[in-house]
Amino acid sequence: MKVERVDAGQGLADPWGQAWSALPATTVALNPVDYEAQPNRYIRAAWKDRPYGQTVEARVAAASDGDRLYIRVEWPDDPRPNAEFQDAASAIFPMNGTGALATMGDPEKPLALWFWEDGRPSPLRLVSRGPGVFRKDDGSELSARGACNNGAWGVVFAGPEAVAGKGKVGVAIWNGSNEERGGLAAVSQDWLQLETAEE
Amino acid sequence: MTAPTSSRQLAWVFDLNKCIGCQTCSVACKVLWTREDGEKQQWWCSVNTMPGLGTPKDWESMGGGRDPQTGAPLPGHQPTREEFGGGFDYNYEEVFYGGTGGKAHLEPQGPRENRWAMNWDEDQGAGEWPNSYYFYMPRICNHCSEPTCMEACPTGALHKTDDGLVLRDEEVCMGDRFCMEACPYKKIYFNYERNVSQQCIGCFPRIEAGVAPVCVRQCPGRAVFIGFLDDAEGPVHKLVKEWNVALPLHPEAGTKPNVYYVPPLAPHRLRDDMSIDHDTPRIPKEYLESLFGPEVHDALATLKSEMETVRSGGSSEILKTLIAYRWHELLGPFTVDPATLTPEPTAHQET
Amino acid sequence: MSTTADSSAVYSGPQDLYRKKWEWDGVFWGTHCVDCYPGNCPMRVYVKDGMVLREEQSGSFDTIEPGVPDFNPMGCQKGAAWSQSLYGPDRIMYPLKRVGERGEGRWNRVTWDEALADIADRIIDAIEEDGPQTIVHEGTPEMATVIPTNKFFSVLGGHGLDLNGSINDFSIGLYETFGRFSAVSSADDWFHSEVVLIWHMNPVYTRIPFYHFIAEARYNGAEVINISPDINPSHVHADYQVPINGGTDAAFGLALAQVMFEENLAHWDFIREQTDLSFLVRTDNWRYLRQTDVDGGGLEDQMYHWVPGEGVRPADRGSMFLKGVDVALEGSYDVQLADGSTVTVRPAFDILREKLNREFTPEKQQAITGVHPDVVRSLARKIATKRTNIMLGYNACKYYHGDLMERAQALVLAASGNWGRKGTGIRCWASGMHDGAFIATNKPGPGAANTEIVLSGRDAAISAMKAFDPTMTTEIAVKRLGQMSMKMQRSGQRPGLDQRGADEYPTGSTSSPPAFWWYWQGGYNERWNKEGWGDDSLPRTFDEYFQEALAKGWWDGMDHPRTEERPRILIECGGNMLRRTRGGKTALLPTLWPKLDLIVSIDFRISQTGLYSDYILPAAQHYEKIGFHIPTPHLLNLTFSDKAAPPAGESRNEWQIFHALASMIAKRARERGLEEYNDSTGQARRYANLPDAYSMKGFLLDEERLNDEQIRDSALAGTLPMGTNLRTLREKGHVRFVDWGLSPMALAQASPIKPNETHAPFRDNTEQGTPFPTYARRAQFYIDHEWFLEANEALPTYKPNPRSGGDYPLGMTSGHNRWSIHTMNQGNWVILGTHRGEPNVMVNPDDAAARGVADDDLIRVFNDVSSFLVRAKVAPNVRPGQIISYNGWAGFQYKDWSGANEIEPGMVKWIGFAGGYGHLSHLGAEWQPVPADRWIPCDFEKVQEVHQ
Ligand code: SF4
Ligand code: SF4
Ligand code: SF4
Repeated sequence: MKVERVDAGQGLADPWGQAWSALPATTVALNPVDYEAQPNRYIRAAWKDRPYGQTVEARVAAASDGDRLYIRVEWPDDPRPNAEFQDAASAIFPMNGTGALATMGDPEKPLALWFWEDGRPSPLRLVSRGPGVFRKDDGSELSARGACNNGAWGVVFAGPEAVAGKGKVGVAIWNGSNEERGGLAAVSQDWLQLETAEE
Repeated sequence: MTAPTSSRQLAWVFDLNKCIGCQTCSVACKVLWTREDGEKQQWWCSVNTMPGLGTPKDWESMGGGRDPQTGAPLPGHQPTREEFGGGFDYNYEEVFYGGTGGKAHLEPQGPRENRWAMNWDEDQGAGEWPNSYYFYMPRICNHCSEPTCMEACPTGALHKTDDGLVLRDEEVCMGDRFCMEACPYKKIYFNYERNVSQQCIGCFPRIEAGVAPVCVRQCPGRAVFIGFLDDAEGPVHKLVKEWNVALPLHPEAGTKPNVYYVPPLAPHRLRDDMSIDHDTPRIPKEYLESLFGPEVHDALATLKSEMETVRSGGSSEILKTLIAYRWHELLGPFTVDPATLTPEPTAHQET
Repeated sequence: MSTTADSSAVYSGPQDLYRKKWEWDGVFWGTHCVDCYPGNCPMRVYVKDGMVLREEQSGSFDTIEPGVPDFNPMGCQKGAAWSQSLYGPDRIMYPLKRVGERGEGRWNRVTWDEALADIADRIIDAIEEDGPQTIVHEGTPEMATVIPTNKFFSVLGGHGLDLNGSINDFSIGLYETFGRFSAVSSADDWFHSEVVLIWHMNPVYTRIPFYHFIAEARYNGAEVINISPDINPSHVHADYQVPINGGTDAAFGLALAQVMFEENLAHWDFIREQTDLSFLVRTDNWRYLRQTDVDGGGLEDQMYHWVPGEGVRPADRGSMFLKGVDVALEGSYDVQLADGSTVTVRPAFDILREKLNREFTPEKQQAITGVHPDVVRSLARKIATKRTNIMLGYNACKYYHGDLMERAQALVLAASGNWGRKGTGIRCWASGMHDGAFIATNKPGPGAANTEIVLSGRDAAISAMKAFDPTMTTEIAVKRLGQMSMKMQRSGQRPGLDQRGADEYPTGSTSSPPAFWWYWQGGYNERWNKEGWGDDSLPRTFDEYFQEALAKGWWDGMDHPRTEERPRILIECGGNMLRRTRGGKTALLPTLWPKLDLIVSIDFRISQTGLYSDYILPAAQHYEKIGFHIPTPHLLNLTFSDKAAPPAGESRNEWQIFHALASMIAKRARERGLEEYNDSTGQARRYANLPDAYSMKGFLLDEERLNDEQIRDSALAGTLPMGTNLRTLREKGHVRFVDWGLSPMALAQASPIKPNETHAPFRDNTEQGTPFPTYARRAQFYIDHEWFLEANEALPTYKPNPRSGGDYPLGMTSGHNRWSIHTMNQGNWVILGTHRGEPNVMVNPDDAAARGVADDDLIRVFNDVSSFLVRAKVAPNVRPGQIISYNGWAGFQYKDWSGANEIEPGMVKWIGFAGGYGHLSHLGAEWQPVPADRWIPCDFEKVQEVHQ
């Protein structure tokens, strides 16, 4: 996937802004995070017969202004109301070159998540060593904005450009209507290669 | 999983024959720990009238705990904001200063239907007059020896401390709330402002200073004991391990709770002609058994026979212990007066 | 210390969040008003950055009596969250002036000077046009408020309404029996009881700090019996629940006594000695046989015993001890009178026994009370053989015939010898002992020498009384002085215990039972005369009795203000007339309110009365001033409350407020060229002197000095240990009293205070033979006052609840709630979270179902008086036919600001107007007509609601 080069101040922070409609997006297939890898028998027991991660695909786009990397994720909203859990999404990056998206990483090959959640005042940076096995990390350089439009969520993550050079991105989607959190999510089947635009 | 280990285990004993449902424990806990935004609904210590739906509403039907055969944690329901209820906002401005002249009265704001609160069903109880029955039950986190909350947490935010307290690292907690589902006692709250779960912290800042938790130290009913379970000389050990008059709540939930209850006695029942029925207990046996297991009958029998002994002129170690002639007997090793910990000299300052 | 080896290792890192919540930089002693609840709980108030952070019970009491549990950690949930009302949304931060109509709820913020100037002008207008007695206050029991208020009214020459007459914390039946209504054990004495009768009290709600002594007494072998129509919360730790028919307790008590008499379990010698039941009664007119009958002269209140083999013998008025003389309790004897005629006399007991056997056998009482005769018999046997304590609150007395209930309860104790020993008695409430608080603020000037002047003045007055009648006890002398003083208050003479010494400035206000205020100013004359609402068994109407009482001069000096004496200004300082008055705004807004030129509410929060006032002036809260809040014998300690933080916003303590007002009156009078006015006794007062007279030339404005001197004066008066002062109290937080002092409520204890013993009242009566301060000088069960005879109430008896409010199938009862001291904690967000957060009435499930009402439905409760809207709480512990409206909600928490008191007719039992009979004479807080509000006939219906 190409990281489009744009000028700073082109309104990339707005997920439904003009800037993004001009840029190409890639459709990414999603799968539920691996059930067997769920971190404890409580979660496995509680979700044994309960589907999760049913969001089948998302559209992903990337851009850079030379300083910050922008990742936009769009997926259809599940309109069922839920007062307890919010919809959430992550842009996922490998920390040691690569890692398993299906299990959200593992202890040896952790992944880094830029984590946006509806209603949460600021995004988190998480280090993930398995489904929901998250540790909060310094997320102060991250920003994210999400908005629902015509039955679809659009979320834009922004973070240090340096990350883009590492080359790979994945996404995860949590459907709050289905009480998804932790390792209960839909995650992209394959890494997307980030191709930095030619100068 | 292997049970988490602590070198010692702190335990609480609530004497339900002294508790009067006054809510001083709950209020004191709230005033100290949960006054911030996002904490208004939280009552780490809560007191309910039993039988009743309690807090969160109908918590006893919400699952969690462990399978009695396999020890595997059982799925449970995450209590919702609405099921906890409470935390009402009021229309003070409108009533006092709004010029409504009595047309607006002071009342909790928000939807009326399905309204609930921490102590919503206070003093309702069960049964039929004149044999209606109820009693009061304070509940805090049980600081279980095999806590399902801890097992269910994917982030590892919960810890069993060396003193046996179950504490949460709120920096780690992601607000996933599997702990809330898995806890059979439903003593975990969610902070919707901060996106973390919160629960009784065993007043650890006090414990480490030698001061008893506020739910113990501020109980005017002198109904709450704290101590280490293995302190053979302490009242907690004696009541729980030696005399078996203090029992865990819902032991069948399998988390090995460390809060124990002296089960409630009640006035005699009345027959239809209003004469006294000495044979049928006012609180149905089945109900007490559903709370404390079959051991409750022995515990009540012990209490009754000890009371009979004392009434006929004898003496009872058990009852003397429950009387706690000196208040400090309730506080275990935590008898430090917090006022003495004031940093500056306590001399009066002109204000 | 904690056994945690290395706590920082155990609790580390992020948990610092919580360590920070438990940090403070100052700690002070504190306590709260709270004395309809025990109060005086010593708290530590923790302060951070000049703001009160939280509080916690101090747990600082030593064991008093070895073998009895200590008092720690006295407190309750309201006290544990008191800090949370300090800066709450109902707190008043600056003076408010009404705009629009009264009760419209629109206010302007004004400066203190603006408010005080207007108030001062209107006070001057009232004084100049009608005199200072048209300025009226009602008040609160809280000492730190009542003393500065009373002082202001004293220097002004205003008028006060007797507080206890409004709130009816007057155990009228105990008073009729013992001449005292305020004898009370220390709470730790409950531990000594073997039978605890919880009877018209709900200690699980109302004695939270002390309840443990009951639970512990039970573990110590006592049996606890809860007697109430509903299965109320105090049943939880009882052994027996007696669900009695509402308001029939007198019949139950009389049957208990009947069993003790018939089964010969009664303590006969105790009855002979302690009660008047051995006194002879004439069978021709049912009056006592008196010296005036026998000798044709002498004392009217000299009665007689019958001594077998000897004949009549005068009862000893100076001692109750019989010294071995056998006096008859039964029989019928002929006595020759001075006029030569012969009359048949019988000991009062003989008449009582016949009555009980005729009307109150256990079987006959069952028809009235619903209590099974076996329950009565087995209980009577226990009471007769065991130390029995009746836990009585101010609940029985709030029934129309509550006096009859209490007299029956007293008879149970008399029959079983259950007073004047540890673990026995009948508890209610009392205050007193901190005499210095009054002495210091009324003496001629600061300093111990001035205190001595007051103390010797008091002694001289008592000595003079005793010289006049050497059989008088100090208690009787103090009471009679007070009663005389009440009657003479408009003559300008004050024979009472004048604590003022020399009069540099003229002082003194008048006061009256509020019943007269209601009758003439509040339109209650209509309600009290309504057929069926009072006692229909009487031969005469209410007004006939009322007029007779006035004509006989029983209320001389106190029967004010009359119709023509229009009250002009009402100043509520801590009081809350519209909430507290039975009848509420339905009664008072159309009648009294239009008469008042000005209504001022001085409070730390907005009250129901405040909402209908013209000004609301912000007062300091408990933690913002130095003070003492109603010491009581329950605890026997003076508990210190310090100024932990400065008064919030522009609030001020009461001394400052009234001094500023006095100064403003002086200033405005000067500007208007006015110098002098006459008070209601004709004495001249100078406007210019008011500020100095009020503050004792500034002395009373120095909080530290004033409180120090109040404590020292109590030490000088002998009620606190010598050497006690502000510094020692600030160190220890509380100090135990060593003596009672001279307030009638404290003297009523009639027992020694021993340093290492619990306190049980009436030990002087049983151990020293000290007479009771009644007409008969005994615990008086036969009251031969003409009205009592006419009403068939000379002996304790049972009468049914009248239909006060109309003929309705349900009865509304009340009682203090668990969550608020009156309405004081209703604005506390933490406390509001411990219940449904708004008012409700509890109803029985069958009664609810019959009216299509489900839990939490809105209902209308109504009777012929009025109605109110409220949520129903359906609870199976409520007796069918009963609804319970716990009191302590503010009117403005109900729709239309109409609370439960709106349907209470505010009946007073006519017998409260009786007088001219020994102890049946008014003295502050004592003998007077008091309003009834229990078992009010009513019904309810569902109100259809549209849910948003
Ligand atoms: S445990 Fe103590 S403080 Fe809590 S409700 Fe019971 S008596 Fe009150
Ligand atoms: S009571 Fe619940 S929250 Fe507390 S330790 Fe046990 S399982 Fe965990
Ligand atoms: S131990 Fe402390 S935090 Fe836990 S319930 Fe008791 S008072 Fe609250």
